Amino acid sequence: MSSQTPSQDLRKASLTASRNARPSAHTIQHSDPTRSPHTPLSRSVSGLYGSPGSSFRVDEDNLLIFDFGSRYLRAGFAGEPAPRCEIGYGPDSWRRVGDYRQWDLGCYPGGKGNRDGEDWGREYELWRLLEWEGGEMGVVEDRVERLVRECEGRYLLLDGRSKRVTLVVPSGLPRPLLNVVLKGLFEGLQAATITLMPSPVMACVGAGLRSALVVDVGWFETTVTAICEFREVECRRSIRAGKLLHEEFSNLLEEELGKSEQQIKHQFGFEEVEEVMTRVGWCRPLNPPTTEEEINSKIINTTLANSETYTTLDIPFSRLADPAETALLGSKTPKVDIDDHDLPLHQLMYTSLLHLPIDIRRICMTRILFTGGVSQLPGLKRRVYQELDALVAEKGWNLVKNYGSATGKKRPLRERSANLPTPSTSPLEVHAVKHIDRDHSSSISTKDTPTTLSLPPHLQPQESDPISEKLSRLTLSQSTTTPSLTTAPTKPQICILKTLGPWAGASLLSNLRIRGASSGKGGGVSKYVFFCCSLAVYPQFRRG
Amino acid sequence: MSQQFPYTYYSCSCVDTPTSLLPLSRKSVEARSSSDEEETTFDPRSSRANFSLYPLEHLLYCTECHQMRCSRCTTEEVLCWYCPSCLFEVPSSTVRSEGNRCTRSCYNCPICTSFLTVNLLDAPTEAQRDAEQPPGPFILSCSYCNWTSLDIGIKFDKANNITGQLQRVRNGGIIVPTPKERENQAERLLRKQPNHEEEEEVKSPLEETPAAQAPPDADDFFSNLNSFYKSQLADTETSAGPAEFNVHSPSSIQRLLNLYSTGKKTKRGKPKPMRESLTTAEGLQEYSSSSEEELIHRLATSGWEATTSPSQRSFQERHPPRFTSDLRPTATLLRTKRSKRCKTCRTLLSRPEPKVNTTRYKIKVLALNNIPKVSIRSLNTTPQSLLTDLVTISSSMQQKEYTTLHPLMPYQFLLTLTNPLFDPIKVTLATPTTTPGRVQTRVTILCPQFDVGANTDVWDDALNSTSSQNNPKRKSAAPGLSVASPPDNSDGKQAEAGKIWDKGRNWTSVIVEVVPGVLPGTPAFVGEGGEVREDEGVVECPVFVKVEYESEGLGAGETPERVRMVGEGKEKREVAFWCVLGVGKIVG
Ligand SMILES: [Zn+2]
Ligand SMILES: [Zn+2]
Ligand SMILES: [Zn+2]
Ligand SMILES: [Zn+2]
Repeated sequence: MSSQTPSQDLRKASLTASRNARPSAHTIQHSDPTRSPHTPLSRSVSGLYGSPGSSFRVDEDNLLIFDFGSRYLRAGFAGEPAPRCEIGYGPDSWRRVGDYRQWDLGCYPGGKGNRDGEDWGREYELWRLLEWEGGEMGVVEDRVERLVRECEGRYLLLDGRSKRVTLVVPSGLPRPLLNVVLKGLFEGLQAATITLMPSPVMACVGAGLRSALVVDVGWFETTVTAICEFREVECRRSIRAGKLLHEEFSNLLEEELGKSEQQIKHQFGFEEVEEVMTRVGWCRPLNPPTTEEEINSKIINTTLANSETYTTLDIPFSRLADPAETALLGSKTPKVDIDDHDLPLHQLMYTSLLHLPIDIRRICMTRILFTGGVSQLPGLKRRVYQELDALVAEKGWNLVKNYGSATGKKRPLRERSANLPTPSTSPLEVHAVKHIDRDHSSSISTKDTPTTLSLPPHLQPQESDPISEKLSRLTLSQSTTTPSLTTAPTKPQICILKTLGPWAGASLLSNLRIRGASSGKGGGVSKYVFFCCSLAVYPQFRRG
Repeated sequence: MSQQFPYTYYSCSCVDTPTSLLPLSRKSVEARSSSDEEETTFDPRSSRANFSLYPLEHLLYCTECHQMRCSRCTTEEVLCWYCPSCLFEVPSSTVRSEGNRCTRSCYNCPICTSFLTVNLLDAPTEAQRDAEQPPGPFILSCSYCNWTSLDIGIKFDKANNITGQLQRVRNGGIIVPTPKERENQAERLLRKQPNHEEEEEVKSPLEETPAAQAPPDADDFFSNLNSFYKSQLADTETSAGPAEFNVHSPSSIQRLLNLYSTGKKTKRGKPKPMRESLTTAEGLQEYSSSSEEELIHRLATSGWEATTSPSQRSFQERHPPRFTSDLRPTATLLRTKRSKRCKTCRTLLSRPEPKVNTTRYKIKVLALNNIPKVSIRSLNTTPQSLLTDLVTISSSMQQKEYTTLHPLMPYQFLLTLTNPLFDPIKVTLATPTTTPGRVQTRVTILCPQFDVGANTDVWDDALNSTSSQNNPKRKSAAPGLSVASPPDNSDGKQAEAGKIWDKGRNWTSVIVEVVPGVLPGTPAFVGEGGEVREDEGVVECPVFVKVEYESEGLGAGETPERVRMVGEGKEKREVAFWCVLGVGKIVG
């Protein structure tokens, strides 16, 4: 083991020192000053590598949390509120060692690439769909390994103790990618074990909840995952996410550049566009007050290529809310043109909620969580909330959009809540759910694609499968313990809560686990098992 | 242009081993068949190649495996942690408890990342300057961009322990509890909670915020949640025994229900799952649209300059803010000294002195001293004289020679192999006739097989050269100079196939003929058109180098005297690797 070697070296060193010292008295005196100040000191340090007591054994490991997003890698230690580093993937992570072109004068980062081409932003992503289909996984592997090494070398600065990694992954992560990431961690970090945690569930943990509707507005896609009792019940996707927003922002910048009086020819680089997007992008409320339109704000584009001087570009503040309208909310797209794969955020959430079993919907409605980088866009949460609220008010929770001639049969599903089975709390059922879980999660994975509704929606039996029945009974029993959020109104209100994010959730969970396990009592451990029983399908990997 | 032309990159042998945990077997594979090599021509243009190509100076050498070792096929161990600013060595226990940043008073500017200094706020009076401890207040200030901690409303009472003082204060001078205190506070709040559960349900969560004067930030919520989860775990452990019978506690309710449900008593030991957090004290964060409105208003009124740039955001320790007024000074990141081992056989390859203020190494086995150095330069250029002091001018002139290669014109380059070993080596070079990729450059090595002399003593060489060579000036005196001063071609020497160009003590030069290909987008280009991608005009020739030599099986420690003795203990060795020669750039 590599971790053993420093202490061994020291031991060897001190051994040889004492052997030399033995023969005569004066050599002892001579060798004394050389070894006396150092050896005890380094001994105590090297004692960290040994095992002082088995009860502290767990604490000795480095508990690490890794979260590979599609644009950023977050890594840090369990029990800390935030990752130690958040490394963005950029062109640098593609370059050769010794290639210092980013330091070249006149080299503008991210300035290259045809914006309409497929390669736009390619360097800033860790993977793309075509890679794991086309077998180009080798590059991803190399990059992951380099990222892990860089992250350890610059930020984590790990000592020789064994490393146990918790990896936060989206549950729909393709298997080849997962393999690559696991390999990168085992190889680059020499990790002893890796535990996988699904990121929506971790977002739930990071909010202190057991159930939620997790809306992850990421780079490639927005996923809406319904979590009930730490289990993924349903997951829907839409391509309205960061990448589309980014494209809209670069359109906007080009239009504004064309409008400005200065006749500058300039092609906006990827990073340039992203900077504008993250610095001053925002999102309007549903019915914006007119006063806000008047506020104009100056945008200063620090770098316009071909010109050494800094040129500024003035953009009205209200214009900066337009990309979000087009890209995320689809308010400019006619409804007929909207497909299942590009539902606007609020409609995606509404559809998700609509197709949930009614009790889970009740729970999830009151616990909506936003994660993902794009959800930081100012005003987005407010807008989505308003849109969703309006949508519910307009349509209710009716799966059938148009009854046609059969209008008389219309019966609000909401009434069903009265007919639900009486709550019963029994540990047996808790137990049962645990066993079912495995099949259940596999059924989720088949549901992953957004367009698998083969039956017409009104024909779909809502509570036919035994799992959801179990779940709903279970959650009802839960609701007795969480009265303030669930039971009070007959008609639950949509409510957004904040989460610390998947990374922090995993950090909390991994930290808990130590306490639970080291306390040595059965209660803690078994509760932990239940706490993350939904993770049963996410195995722990070991080296070798 | 990634580097100054010409350059050489070496492909580390770990590139085609599927898992570097397995023993490396490349050497034997390559020795077996040369037909395989042609099929697997190294493509410097492939996206993976970037991850296995290194300049020779970056590579180490394993004397056990007889292979070069890159950062990917070595393992690292941290020897010591230190702060690059105050050069203070940080023990590993402190790194573990306090994190990866300097905990003394080393801070970086959040705007421009240069080091901050602690200064007196007001210019000290004469009396104060004489005083042992000048009275405060102090500020952190950046001498480069003039940022001071006053910009975020923070002053310090003492000049030392800035970290401790910063922990207690938020931007704007708001005093907050330190993380430790916060955790204790959160736990205290939770402990008294079960008794008042009913009242607290009625209360709005915000009313019971622990630090009333400051709104809780993400760290507060984290510690609240953390202690909530911990208390939930502790709760079930205690409730398993015959504890107090509190009707209001959820665990008791469950036990009551268990009493009335039939046939399930046996499962009573099963703990109830923990509940959700309900209040701010338990880490529940409510969303309010007013905070977003406020944010947008601030954005609209303060504009672009008030927001943080991506680089400033990523430089923050955690929770990167949107506005510059929310930036925090960043404690300096610690650095490490690391020893490196071969991943395959665990041999120590490099070990620096563990003291902070030396840059010396106890062990460092460089590839430079064990692998023949392959270098290339244009034959037409006059060699860069070592004596010239107009380096910049001459190098830019030379660069032009390399960066203006015309398509379909033959160019001659001088490929020189320098032997760092104490044994003479036999070199076999191989290169694909055309470079891979769309721009097909023809490459011909005129003499692919030759010998290179041993790296013997300089004095031996001097003695030999006077006896055997007519023109000693042309020959290199020292190994370091050999590459820089090969002969010029003023004597009208013609390149001939199968013959070496020139030879010195431990170096040999051969001619490489390069005919640059046609760039896409130009009329002469045959094939699928399109734009020229970045770096596509760069001519990089992959060259396979096979080196054979006989050496004593003792490893690196052998002396030249022993090597020269012809004995029984000789061992045949073979080193083979791909390298990439960057010869220049094609003009369109
Ligand atoms: Zn390597
Ligand atoms: Zn320091
Ligand atoms: Zn500064
Ligand atoms: Zn080795």
